Amino acid sequence: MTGSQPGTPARHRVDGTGRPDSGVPAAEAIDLRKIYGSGQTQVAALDGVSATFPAGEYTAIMGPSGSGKSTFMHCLAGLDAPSSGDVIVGGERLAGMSDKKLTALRRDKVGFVFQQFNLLPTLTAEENITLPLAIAGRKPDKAWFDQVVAAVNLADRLKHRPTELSGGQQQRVACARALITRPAVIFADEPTGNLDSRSSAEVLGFLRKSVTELGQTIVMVTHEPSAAAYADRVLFLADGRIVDEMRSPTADSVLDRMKTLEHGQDTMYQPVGA
Amino acid sequence: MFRTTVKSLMARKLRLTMSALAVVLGVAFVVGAFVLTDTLGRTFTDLFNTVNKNIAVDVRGAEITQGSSNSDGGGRKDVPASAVTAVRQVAGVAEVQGNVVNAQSNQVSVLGKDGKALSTNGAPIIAGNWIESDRLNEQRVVSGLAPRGPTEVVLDGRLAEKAGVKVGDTTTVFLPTGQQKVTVVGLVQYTNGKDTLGGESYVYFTTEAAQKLLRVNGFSDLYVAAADGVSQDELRTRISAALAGSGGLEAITGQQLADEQASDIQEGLGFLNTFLLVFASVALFVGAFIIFNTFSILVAQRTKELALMRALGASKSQVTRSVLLEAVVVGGIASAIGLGAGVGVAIGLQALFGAFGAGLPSATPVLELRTVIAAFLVGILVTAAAALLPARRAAKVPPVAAMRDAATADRSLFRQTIAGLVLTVAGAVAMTFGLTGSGLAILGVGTVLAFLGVALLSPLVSRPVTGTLGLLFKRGLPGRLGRENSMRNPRRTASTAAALMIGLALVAAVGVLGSSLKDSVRKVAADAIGADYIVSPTAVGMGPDAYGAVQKAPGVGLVTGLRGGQATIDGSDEFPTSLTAGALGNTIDLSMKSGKTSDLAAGTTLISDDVAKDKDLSVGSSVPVVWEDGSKGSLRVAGVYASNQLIGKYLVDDSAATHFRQQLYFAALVKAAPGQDVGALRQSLDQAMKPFPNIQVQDQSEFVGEAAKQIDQLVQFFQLLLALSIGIAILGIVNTLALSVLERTRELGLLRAVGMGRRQVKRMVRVESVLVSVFGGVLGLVVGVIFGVALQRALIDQGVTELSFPVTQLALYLLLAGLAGMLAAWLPARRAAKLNVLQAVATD
Repeated sequence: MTGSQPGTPARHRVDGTGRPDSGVPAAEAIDLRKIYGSGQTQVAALDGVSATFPAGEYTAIMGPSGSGKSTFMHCLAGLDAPSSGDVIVGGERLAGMSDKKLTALRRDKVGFVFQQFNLLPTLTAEENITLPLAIAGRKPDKAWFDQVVAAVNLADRLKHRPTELSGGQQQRVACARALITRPAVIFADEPTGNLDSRSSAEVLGFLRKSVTELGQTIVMVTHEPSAAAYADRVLFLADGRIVDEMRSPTADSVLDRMKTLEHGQDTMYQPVGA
Repeated sequence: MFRTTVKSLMARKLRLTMSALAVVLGVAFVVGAFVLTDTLGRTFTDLFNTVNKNIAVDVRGAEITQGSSNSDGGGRKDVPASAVTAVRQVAGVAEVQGNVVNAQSNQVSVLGKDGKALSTNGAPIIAGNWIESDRLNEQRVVSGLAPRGPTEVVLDGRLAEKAGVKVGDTTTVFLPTGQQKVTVVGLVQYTNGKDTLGGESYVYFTTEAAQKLLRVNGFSDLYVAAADGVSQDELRTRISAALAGSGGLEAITGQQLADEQASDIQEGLGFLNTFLLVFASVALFVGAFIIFNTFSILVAQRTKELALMRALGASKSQVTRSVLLEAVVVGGIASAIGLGAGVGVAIGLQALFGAFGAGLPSATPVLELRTVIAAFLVGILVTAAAALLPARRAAKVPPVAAMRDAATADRSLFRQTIAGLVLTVAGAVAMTFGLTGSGLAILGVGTVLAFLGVALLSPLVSRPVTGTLGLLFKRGLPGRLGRENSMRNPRRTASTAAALMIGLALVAAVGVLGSSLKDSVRKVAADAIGADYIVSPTAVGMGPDAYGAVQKAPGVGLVTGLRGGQATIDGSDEFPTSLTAGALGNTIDLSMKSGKTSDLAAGTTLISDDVAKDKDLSVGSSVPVVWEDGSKGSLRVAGVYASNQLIGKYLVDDSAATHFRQQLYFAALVKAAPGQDVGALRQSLDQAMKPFPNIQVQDQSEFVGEAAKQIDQLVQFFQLLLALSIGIAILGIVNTLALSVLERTRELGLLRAVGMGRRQVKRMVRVESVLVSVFGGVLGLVVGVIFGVALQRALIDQGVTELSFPVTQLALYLLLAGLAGMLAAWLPARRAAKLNVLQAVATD
């Protein structure tokens, strides 16, 4: 799928992944607010963000530094608790969840791909991929494992340790790990931030493929327009608010939009596709 | 550079606390040792100064045996009563009082409240004559009267309380001449209002009774007070002149007497001090490992920072100095805290000695300037020395590392392994020399070298050992990850484990030695004791009345009474045992190398083969002897027996016992009469010993059991002192784990992010900790068992003939090592589990 042209993502879904394209969203944010500090020094990282992430859709979140995009994703993923508002992931409300339940949610319903330090150095690639299952004490489904491994093209690297893999390979292992539990949603935080362009293309292509072919839901934070172009839609954040949404993004259209955002000239909601 | 050092210290204060704590504990122990001995020294000096306040001159008999400087009679001839008159006539003498006192402190006891003789292991019970003088006796009768009749005594209030008696009550006193029923007619106290000066107790008779009961012909010594204006030296010269030609009597000034007494005590305390300092050194040695480890990890974690400093133009020596300065500051602070804690340690040590039956007087702790200097010197030097290598490593960080990811490649273990091998071999050689007579210092140096060597070699085995042990935790991911983590950095795992290794090795070595000792005693007893029962005193000795009662008990066949005394044989101080020749082959079995046991008679001796070898003696040789009572003669060697710990080096005929000051039996070996039921004999003996509360009847296994109990106690005492170093090692594990947890923040965050629960995280850290500890435990046991075997081999000639391993005990140590790991993991695990997932995974 690495050959897929950015900007012309396939809308077609393969069925049979156990996740039919129903109308139920994979994740939903309801009026999220995240306030840091208090009194005079109070800063709102999220200032009433609501968004829906339909199952089987690839969403990119963009915005200038300090726009709150990372905080938004952390709240969505149950890594951070919002000051108010709620998040629903895989049908479960996160507000008021105990650490134990949040942990279980992250383990079973959420997948993660981080920018750096994504793998455990003491484990092999295979062990890293099946890590969430091992934590839960479950055995991997062999067929699914093979399918995931084939998709990330790592079959001959399974016994290697992270230090023996390239950055792109490491990130593909991380992607496979995120997929292995068939989570409701995968959160990717700048997954190509540390990669060269070729490796970036591989990883992004794989993520795209997992949406298109495996029906996975992905939410990705990025600051690279070329990465955002792999998504089905892009949400633009600025000053803790969603200021725009773009469907079928291309690198150029995203770049243009970002330019206006970063110059702070336009913080009003303005659907571009309209 | 100084300011950056201070800043970096402040930033790392938590991480440094643990390693500082290791120094604190080590220094505290050093300080404790000094404070304890100084305090005791001060107490005893005060004691003698009080007691001797008005004694201008002390007159005493000539020394009998060599090397004894005991000023109160032991090893000296008695002073004849006639000397009192002679001294009294010397011009300038204001008063003369004859002093009678028991020669050795363990020769007197009093019946306790519980119906048993009070133990003589702790502070002594002193028996003597009540001196009716306000000038030469600093004690006063504070209630009741002074003793008048032959069975009247005065006691100090504390002793009366322990004995459960009041003025007017009767009790039993156990003396070198047997037990004596007495009436308590009064209580005494020092003029300063204290019952005791250093924990000692007093029982005073009339002079006549004391002379008879303590077997003193005349007096032990004479106290002389000077008339006004006559100096001690002046008076001493005059008295010496007056006593010239009167049988070797000597006069010393009161000051000399006090100095002699004090130096005797100092000698004893010096030994105690050295003994305690050995344990303190162990603690510091272990502490040094932890400092080394902490600084190594800190330097590794600061690679980038150090490289940045280098890139900004800091020289290598500046970097080294900054790390060393950090160590010196940590060492200094730790020493200051250790100094304060040391006073507490001194009090704790005193309680420990008390718990093991060696009560020491309690007094206000004495903190000498020397102690303060030692504390800072030791604390700072140890810390700086331990940080030296990490500091030099810090200097080697290339400036370019600032730009790189701080992935330090695994350095080759080659050089370290060579160094380890060299040190281990050097240590083993030094230990061998030390054990074969080159002295304790060499042994100590060898032990340190061997430990360092093994510590350097241990990274080689840390991976396979922790990996194999870790298979126990293979089930479940947390266990598996914990195992992987313990195998991750062999150097770190090894040096963390090494600290625990040292403590456990010493504990195990002591355990092996103790167990071998017990087996040897068992073997010796089984080989040497032919008697059915051993009747022996629990305190003081067995008097002729008790001995007679044993002989007369129904069913008794042969009884062998054993007595011992001191004598100078062939120029050296020895402790010969006397018995009747008929005992040999009956109640006592000796394996003779030459000569016949039946040849033992008056004027002959049987000697052990050690002595025969050392002094080049054989059957027919003659050796000169000076007995305790001053008489001289010679002994002809009638036979040589295989060395036997129970019997000692010299056996003499019972007739020689008249020369012993101590006339009591230290044991009576009883064989049943032919045809007598041995079980019934026990009852008969028990019945016969009823009137003697300080006598017990034991069969062979009980006898061995008691000896074993004493060995066990000693072993426990040593191990308790070594527990300190194990405690320090646990701190080291805590420290390494905490630093590792910090280092792996991102990794832990990732695990938590992908769904690892807090309990699983804790388990992971715990497994790592337990593996590191058990690795240290395994190393310690292996090294300790080797040390133990070496010790046993070296002590074969001293009677440790058997080698035995306390398997259960050793297994228990390993288990304890595991528990130590659990304990050490507690805080780091909590910290790891509490980690903020978001901060851990958030991109920089």
